[in-house]
Amino acid sequence: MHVPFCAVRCHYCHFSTAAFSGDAVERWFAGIEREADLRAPLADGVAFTSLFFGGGTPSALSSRHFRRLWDLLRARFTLAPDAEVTLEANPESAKDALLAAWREAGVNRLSFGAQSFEPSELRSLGRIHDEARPVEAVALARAHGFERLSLDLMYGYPGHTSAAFARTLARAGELGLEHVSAYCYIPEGVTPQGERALASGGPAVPDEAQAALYEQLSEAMEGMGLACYETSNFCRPDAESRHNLTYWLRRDYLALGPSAHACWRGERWGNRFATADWAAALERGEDPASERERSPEASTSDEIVMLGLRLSSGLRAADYAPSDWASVERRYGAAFAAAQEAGRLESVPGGWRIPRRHRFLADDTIAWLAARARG
Amino acid sequence: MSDPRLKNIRNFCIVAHIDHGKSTLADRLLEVTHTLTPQQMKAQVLDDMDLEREKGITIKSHAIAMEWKAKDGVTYELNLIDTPGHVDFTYEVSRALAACEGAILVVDASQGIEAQTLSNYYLAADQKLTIVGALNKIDLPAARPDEIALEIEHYAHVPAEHVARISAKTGFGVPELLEQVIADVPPPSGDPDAPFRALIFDSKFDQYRGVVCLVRVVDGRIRSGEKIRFLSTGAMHEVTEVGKLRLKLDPADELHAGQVGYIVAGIKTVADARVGDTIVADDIAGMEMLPGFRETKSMVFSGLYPIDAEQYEDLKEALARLRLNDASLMYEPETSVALGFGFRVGFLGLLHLEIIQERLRREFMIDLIATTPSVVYHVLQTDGEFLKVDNPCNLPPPQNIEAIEEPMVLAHIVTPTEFLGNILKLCQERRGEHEGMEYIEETRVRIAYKLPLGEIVLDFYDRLKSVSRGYASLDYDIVGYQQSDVIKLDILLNGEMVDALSAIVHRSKAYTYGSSLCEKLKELIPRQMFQVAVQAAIGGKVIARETIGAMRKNVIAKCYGGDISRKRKLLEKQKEGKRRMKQIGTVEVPQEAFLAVLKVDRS
Ligand SMILES: Nc1nc2c(ncn2[C@@H]2O[C@H](COP(=O)(O)OP(=O)(O)OP(=O)(O)O)[C@@H](O)[C@H]2O)c(=O)[nH]1
Ligand code: SF4
Ligand SMILES: [Mg+2]
Repeated sequence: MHVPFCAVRCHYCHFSTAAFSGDAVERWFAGIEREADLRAPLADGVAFTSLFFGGGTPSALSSRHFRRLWDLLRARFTLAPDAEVTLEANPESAKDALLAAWREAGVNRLSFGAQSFEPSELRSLGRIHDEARPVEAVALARAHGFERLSLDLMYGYPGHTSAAFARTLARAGELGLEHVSAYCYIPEGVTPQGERALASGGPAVPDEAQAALYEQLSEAMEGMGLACYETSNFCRPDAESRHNLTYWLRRDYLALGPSAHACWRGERWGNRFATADWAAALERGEDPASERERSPEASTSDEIVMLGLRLSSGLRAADYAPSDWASVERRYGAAFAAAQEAGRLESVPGGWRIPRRHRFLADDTIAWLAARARG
Repeated sequence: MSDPRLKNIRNFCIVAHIDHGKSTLADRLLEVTHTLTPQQMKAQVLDDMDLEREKGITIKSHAIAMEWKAKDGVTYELNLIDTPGHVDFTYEVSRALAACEGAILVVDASQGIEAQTLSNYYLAADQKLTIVGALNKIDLPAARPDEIALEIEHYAHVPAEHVARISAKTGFGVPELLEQVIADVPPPSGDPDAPFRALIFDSKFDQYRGVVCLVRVVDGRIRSGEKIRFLSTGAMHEVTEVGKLRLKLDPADELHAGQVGYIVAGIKTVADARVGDTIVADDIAGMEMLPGFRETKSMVFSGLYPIDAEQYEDLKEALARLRLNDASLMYEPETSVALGFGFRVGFLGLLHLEIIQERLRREFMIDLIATTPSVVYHVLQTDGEFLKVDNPCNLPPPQNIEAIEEPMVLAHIVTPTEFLGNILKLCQERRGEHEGMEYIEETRVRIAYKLPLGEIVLDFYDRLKSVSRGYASLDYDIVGYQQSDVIKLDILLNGEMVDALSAIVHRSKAYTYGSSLCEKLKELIPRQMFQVAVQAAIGGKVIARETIGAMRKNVIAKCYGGDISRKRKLLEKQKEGKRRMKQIGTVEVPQEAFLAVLKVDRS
């Protein structure tokens, strides 16, 4: 569920966001309602086990708006009783009224975008909150009964140092979180910061430096009792984000809102990126998807390998439909064996995984395998 | 004396130094003779290969028939052959000459006589062709027609006042040039009533007809349904089609003595239609072979290996196909420890190698690795046995070698005097011996140097061009073998020798060569998951080393809200990159790295 509004645009951001105004929100609501009507029949008889409010900034919606959104969704889709319901929240906006509204509706997991605890870094990333805010937000969320809390961090941006990262990691460690997502900075040409980084030519931050920061991150997470379950995601035992795993395990998911992407019963589609385009398509009575493709068997198995090998538990037969796994084996069986020979994969019960020391090189092995896939 | 029936035929080719305007002149000739419709016309229309058009140079000779009503009221049959100018393709020129009585020697009026002007002139004069001199590009402000006409008089023995002045670009002087060709070039000799004899000067493969022989009929006539014999192989075939060479093949009832055209005769194998062979009527015995042309000598050899081992059979088929259009291509199977099964292929030069590799990729979809190019060394072993070595891997161990000889060339370089110093220095670095120098005019000289072929065949031409800002030109001929202190240099990746990268080099240069090659390989081999040592060694002793640090990062951090398109695109790109790499032991080596030797700075 993509909520495209933000109070201020962060310097590194390339997500689909829109200016926040009463009219814009109304138009978006109307669009969501149309799109939900359009998609609901696809999910007839399905009880969703995960629902994710992402953005943009879902927490930019007022409690009244959030309730309205919630009711709109519940009227059209079914949630499983133990469903994971996550909301991406800006630490700045975690206020009592909102937290109460989320809690009451059924949100049971919050993901705070902290990025860093260094004041100067927050400013240069264009974040509006100060470094104390995430700490207060976490405490407040706990007070409202939220147990499942995750924090987003970023590392490896221009000027990022190991000492600064250590301070951020230490602050994060004090929060007793069950989950952390930490993303290595990628310069995006369309963002002010990315443009600066790209204009300076060459990789703004050397691979060595980013790899060292990743090592530092992994160690700090272990110290906090959080294990890496996917390249950029760390958690306590059994506290994986179900929503995240849906992507990595290539399970079905539906999508609502501008720029949202779905993978549903052998088909992938992505909605128009700009909120206005997306809304306009729906207003014309059209499907808001701008890209749509059926996945042939070969690309399904390519995707399974590409996504699944990022998981620390590895790529395992048990996680897939038998027919999908059979085609993975057919296409990749020989390549897997060769990769093991070359030290690129290690076997796990019922599957394969990339050795821990190569986690930050995962794409190299994935491409190596793809180049050797059959037919 | 020419048979009266042949007196209205003229067979001629256009020869010149590279870029002096041969193909553009051919365009104008096709235009004034109305051989092509305006719709068919485009710049350098005879350069019909993609690669020719992209590079803006002629690679293959192209023959085409024209008709022209001359001032004397007679309509002449003109057979024109446009030839390439690059030094690698001299063989194409010499074959074209064998089909002609005359040659238009084109000289750029702003550049003057260059190395290939002279070498092509000598080839034509040797074959006793009538030379028609033509000063081209007189439309250029920098043209110096009077001075250059004198150069032509001096070097090509065409009286200056008799040299045509043309602009192939504007068409100025072109009809007059044609009149001059008709007046000066003799009609073919030959007897249309004698038994049939023809020379194959080229061949090509046509999708529908199979092998097509391009021939110059010397005596007699030929029609479809008749039986012919190939003298060198004795193979017999029935003719299914004959015709004239237009932009496309143009069937005709018969070809007769003096004419240039094509013959199709259900020929399946390339070996049966060897360029240079003589075709005769099958029912006549005791016919003599026509003088063909010099066998081509491959100058440089390289192993070609498909990156995907499963494409070996495709490569074999593709080489056979290319050989049909390119008689100078020589090859035989070989194997490499590092690369598996492939072919050792002989080339006329580096451009030739590059073009073949590119054609295999484009026309046959075969991605290749080419091993370090080598010339042919003569090796006398201590046991008295004599070996020819065109692959460094076959060089016997030093203790078994009595002596090695390397091929030498006599190179002629024409250059403006201001670059003389640079060029002498370059030749000296390449172990050259100065043989002489003459002034073509006050500001231009022709230098002769004896040089080892191995020193010039790889990057000499590029270096020459760069030290002379493109002005110097080069021509060379093999002049024999000379004893030399050369040794085999090996390259090791993580301790494992890569035979495909071995090279034979002069002892005095082994160290510099080895270290710059290691440096170059370090640049060209991407980081691997582990550190890689790149070493150069002579007889097991390491003389240079570079280290490629381990890859540290290759992962895309995120999967934005279930949008995997970006990851897929990246994977697709990386996968293609991986496919162009060859796994040598544990190290993945990209295609380009195998030609690193060409990029090494040897100075
Ligand atoms: N100004 C001027 N340019 C010309 C003339 N003739 C040819 N050119 C140009 O010279 C360049 C080379 O012409 P080509 O006809 O391809 O030369 P070529 O001799 O066939 O070259 P190769 O086949 O590669 O040896 C092209 O850019 C032509 O446009 C001319 O009479 N005047
Ligand atoms: S809050 Fe998130 S979506 Fe909004 S601008 Fe910042 S990074 Fe982008
Ligand atoms: Mg040309």
